[in-house]
Amino acid sequence: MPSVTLQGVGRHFGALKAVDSVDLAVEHGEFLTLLGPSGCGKTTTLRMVAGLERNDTGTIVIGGRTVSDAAAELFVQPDQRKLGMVFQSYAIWPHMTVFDNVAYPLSVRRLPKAEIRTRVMTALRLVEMEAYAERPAPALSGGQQQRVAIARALVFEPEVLLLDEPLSNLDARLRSQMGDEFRALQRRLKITTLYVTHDQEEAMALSDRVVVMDKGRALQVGAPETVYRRPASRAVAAFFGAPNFIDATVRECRPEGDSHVLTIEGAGAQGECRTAQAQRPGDTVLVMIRAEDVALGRSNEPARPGQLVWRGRVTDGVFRGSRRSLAVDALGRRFNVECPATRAAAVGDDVTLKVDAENAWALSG
Amino acid sequence: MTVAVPLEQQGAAFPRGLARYGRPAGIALLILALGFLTLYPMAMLLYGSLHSTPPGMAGEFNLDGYANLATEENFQALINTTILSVVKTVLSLALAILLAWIVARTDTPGRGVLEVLITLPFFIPPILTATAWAMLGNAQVGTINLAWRWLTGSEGTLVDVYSYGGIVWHMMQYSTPFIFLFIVDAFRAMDPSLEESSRMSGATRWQTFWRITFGLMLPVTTSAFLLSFIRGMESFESAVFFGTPVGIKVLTTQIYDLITQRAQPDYQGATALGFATLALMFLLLVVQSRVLRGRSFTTVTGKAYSPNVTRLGWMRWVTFAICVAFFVLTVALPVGQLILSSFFQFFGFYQLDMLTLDHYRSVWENRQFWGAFGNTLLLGFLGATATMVLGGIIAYITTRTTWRGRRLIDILAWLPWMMPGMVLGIGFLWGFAILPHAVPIYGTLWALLLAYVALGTPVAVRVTSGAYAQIAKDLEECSRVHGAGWWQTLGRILVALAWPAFAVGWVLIFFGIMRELSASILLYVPDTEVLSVVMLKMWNGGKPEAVSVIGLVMLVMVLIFRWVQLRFIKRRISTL
Amino acid sequence: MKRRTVLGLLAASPAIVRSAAAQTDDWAKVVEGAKKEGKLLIYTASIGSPFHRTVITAFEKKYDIKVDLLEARASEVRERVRVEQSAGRFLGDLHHNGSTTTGMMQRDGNFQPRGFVPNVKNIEAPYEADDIKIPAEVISYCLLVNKNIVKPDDEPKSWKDLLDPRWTGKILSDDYRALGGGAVFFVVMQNTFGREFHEKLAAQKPVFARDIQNSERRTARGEFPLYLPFSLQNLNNLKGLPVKAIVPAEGRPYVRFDLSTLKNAPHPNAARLFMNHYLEPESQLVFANAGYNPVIKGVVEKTLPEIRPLLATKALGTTDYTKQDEMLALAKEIYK
Repeated sequence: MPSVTLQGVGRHFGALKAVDSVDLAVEHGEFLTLLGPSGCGKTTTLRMVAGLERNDTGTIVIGGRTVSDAAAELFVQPDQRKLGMVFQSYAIWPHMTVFDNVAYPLSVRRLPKAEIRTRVMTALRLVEMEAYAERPAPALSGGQQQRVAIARALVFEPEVLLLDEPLSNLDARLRSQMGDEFRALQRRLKITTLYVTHDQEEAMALSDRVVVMDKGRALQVGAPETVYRRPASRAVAAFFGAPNFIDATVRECRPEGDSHVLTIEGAGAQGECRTAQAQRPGDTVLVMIRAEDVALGRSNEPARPGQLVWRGRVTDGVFRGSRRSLAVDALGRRFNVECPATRAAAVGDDVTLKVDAENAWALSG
Repeated sequence: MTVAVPLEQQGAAFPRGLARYGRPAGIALLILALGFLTLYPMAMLLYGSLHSTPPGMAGEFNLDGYANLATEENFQALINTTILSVVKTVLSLALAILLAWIVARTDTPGRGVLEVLITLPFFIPPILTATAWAMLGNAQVGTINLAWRWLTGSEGTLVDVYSYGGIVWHMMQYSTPFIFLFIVDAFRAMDPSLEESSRMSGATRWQTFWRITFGLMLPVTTSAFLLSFIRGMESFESAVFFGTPVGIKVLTTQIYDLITQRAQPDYQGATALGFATLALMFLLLVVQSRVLRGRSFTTVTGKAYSPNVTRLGWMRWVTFAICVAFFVLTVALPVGQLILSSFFQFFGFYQLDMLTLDHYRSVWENRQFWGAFGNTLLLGFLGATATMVLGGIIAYITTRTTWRGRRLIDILAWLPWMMPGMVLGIGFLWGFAILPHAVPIYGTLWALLLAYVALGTPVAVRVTSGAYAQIAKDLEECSRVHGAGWWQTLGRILVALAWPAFAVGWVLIFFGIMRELSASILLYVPDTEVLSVVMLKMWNGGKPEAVSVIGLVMLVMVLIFRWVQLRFIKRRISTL
Repeated sequence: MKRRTVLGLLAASPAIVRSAAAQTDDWAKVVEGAKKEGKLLIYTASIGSPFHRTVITAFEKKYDIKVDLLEARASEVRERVRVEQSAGRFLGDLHHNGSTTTGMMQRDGNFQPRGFVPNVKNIEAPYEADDIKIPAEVISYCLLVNKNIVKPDDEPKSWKDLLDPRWTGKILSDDYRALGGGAVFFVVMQNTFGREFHEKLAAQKPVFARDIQNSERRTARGEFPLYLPFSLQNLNNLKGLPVKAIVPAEGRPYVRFDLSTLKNAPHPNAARLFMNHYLEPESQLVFANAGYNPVIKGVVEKTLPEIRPLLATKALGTTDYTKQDEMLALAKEIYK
């Protein structure tokens, strides 16, 4: 049984549908991330799960218990939902010590003092903060506050852990370190986690599955790699990095494995690519190619089977240490290409752009 | 997971009922309670203003009360009152902000002690400071003028407290500490990074203060401004004491005359004038809510910060001097006068052969005083506590929720402040007296307690809502998600964070109760005598020196209360 | 609640006693009834007067009746009585207030007949009792001068001396345009000397104030050499200060305080007994020594020597509540 289920959950502000009928099932022990640009409704969705906002439509079930049913006017208050949550600001209460902050979920439930002590210290040990227990909370650094917030969210062994952009206030290095630590902790405790972020790298690094949201709707749900490499729509594709697109016409279509191989021909580009659904010859498609999947060849290199090939000229290059970002004008567009720094073409070179059919993903036009 | 079971059952059994009936029932109860405290006496007064005779007498409904308001004298009084109140409030606000900033956000030496001392004038009964200032600043033999003449050899007069300036100055003795107390904790609780980022953006210290610090403090400063301005419009003592001799009339003296200076007291006219004043005040409220609408003033967040103070360098001696000057002018002079005269036979006659402890002895041996003191302490503790609880809940509903009916609650909670005290006192008298005799309110301590709670609620609501507005919402939501109910969250997070404001509100209300006379004298009975009535008796009985002794007792209490409170607050703040 | 029950019980018993006492008019039964009632609540507009306490304590000792005093300003006492009576709350027994307020309340029907009180026969003219009220004590108004500033030869001997140019701008005065001593002074001067006196006095530019206690102290400190009208009984509070009270030759304006029984008083016998007690020579002597004029014969002669000459002066006149509004308007007209 899934740990959290959302069915047709929506939240409306007048005519604006901040969240528009979202269906979602988070499996037990799964790390699910709600990903999307700001204003896409991901935080609102999380807050509805938390009970901080009321859903106007649909039902929410946590751990087999319906906590909200808009039609039946059922609404369980947040404190009755047995959740843990980490806020973007950490929401560390400045008037309490670290220990008191972490002990709060237990003390409001009137657990015996001794048990509180053990559980708080265990939770603090989990985040390696046991040495700071008696510190006043505001005297901590950002990363330490983050750990305290996590310990507090975990101490009650909640049904589900909710995190609202918990890493966004940290600097880049600390962010990836904290992310890794948290992921390890989550795996170890096997705690169902619903995570909200606008950072796609973070989402992919941490999640079992990612839900890409935009304008209040869930666009695609899937494993990070699937969502990245096999997006369901242009909007999903465009959300990760700056992919390249080619308009093309289908010449031929054959199934292979769980997808289809298309032979396509566009204005100057030709070769093979993959897609989710069968297409008929003559259909127009939009082919997505990730910048790091493009290889550059000499100006007039011929196409080989299993490749998609087109030609262009390098117009700009930026050295980034381990790699170089090139801008290539081709097919009347500007293509982004990432290649190894030492083996890149120079600005002004005519080049052939090549990509394996595996890495060219066609979306229905 | 053992605790989870009962929670689950609870959650399953109640949410429907709670969601559907709990909140509306709570709101209804609150509106009912507030209605009884504020609307009910107001309704009695409204009746009074529309009826040719006060409640309980035969008469007819008419608009004469309002029609008779439009006299030149009233108009003049309105202009006088408005000018006096605007001038004193603006000056006090500027001074109070400066002092609050110095005390809370700079490294000025001795600011901890100054914080307690500069608020003292507020807690002295006005009649005493008025007397003290009359002795210091009268044109003929005032100490200041005598010193001036001696120093300069001139025959001129430096100051004359019997003037507009004197009235303003005397009112400022109360409004400056009041506003200061009101805003200082808001200044203290601010995240300094908000100021620092302004300095880093190239703003000068002054620009930062004005655009960031002051801007963020808008809810609390406008609230303080309004409270103080309205109080100024209703002020009586200063105007009567310093204004009457030079013919300055204000609204409250007009009301007083309507009641006391007629063969048949004109309660219709007095209440009508009260409502006209109230209507004017109401417009101000509308303006304030417009100014504040749709803006966020969160300065207390769940993020890390250390409440740093600005290091002023040599400038801190300037700020120190400002504080000391304020202290000397508004505290040392009048309080010194009080202390001195409490040891002499007569206020203002300092001859060695008149040294005496008689006044202390007379107060000590006065049974009435002790009875009234006991009653007042009881009423003060109960009243201030109940008022802060009520105010804290009202402020929560009006600032933190979107519940229907919250605007109404907000307005209800403002009403008692907008009606001049002497009129409102009559409203309580009428309202409580006509209750069925089985309701044990009239003639008991309850009458006084209820009136005090009603009178204190506006301050309680303003103080706490100002503090709430500063607290980031996620601190509260975080508590809810982690298992704390609404009440638990209110108590353990919001109130705990807003505790300095609660402490200040409590003190303001406690001493408001100790001083309240207009309603007290109409509601007390011999068993329930209160301090303000005893002080009036002593004053009228020609014993201003004994009143000084009581005033000093009150000051000692203030010092103790504030010292204890600030110790707690500081302990918390130092951990921030 | 407990207090209410007690009140109720006490209120029930006198009803029987009262009718019996009224029929026979036997004073002994009034005394007995009063003792049974055991309590008395007096509403008074005389705030903070220690002399009431003296007289009351003597009464409590003599009859073992507990007396409570509810003190408030004249208009507040009046409104409380009015509201309580119209709400059917009959709490107070006796009412003690200036003759002006008493007169108006008598007209409004706030009192009940007092019944026979033996000591009424001793009352001295011009003070008189009627079916409702008895005179209680008299406040006499005179002048207060600062001895350090005003030499004995310069002291005003007549009220008309106030019009001497030497006093221009130097007279501190209770406001004539507000009820209180100032208004009484205004009325009596108007009746005695006519409007011309006031017009000339207005030209002297008196400085008005309303806080009597403060005005007296201001005079003592020398802010002003002269204050009027000075309530004689306040002299006690100023003992030791360089001030002197002067009653001008024409006599003293005065205002009488009255005692009357409130309608449906719960302790009518105690009220009646207290009225009688108030008119005892010992009680009146307490007030006289304090500077009030007594209302019965033969008391002034027994007063302390320093106060006796001031009390043994002519009563010049008093105010009349039926002309109050008219007189206030006139005062406003003359003293802008």
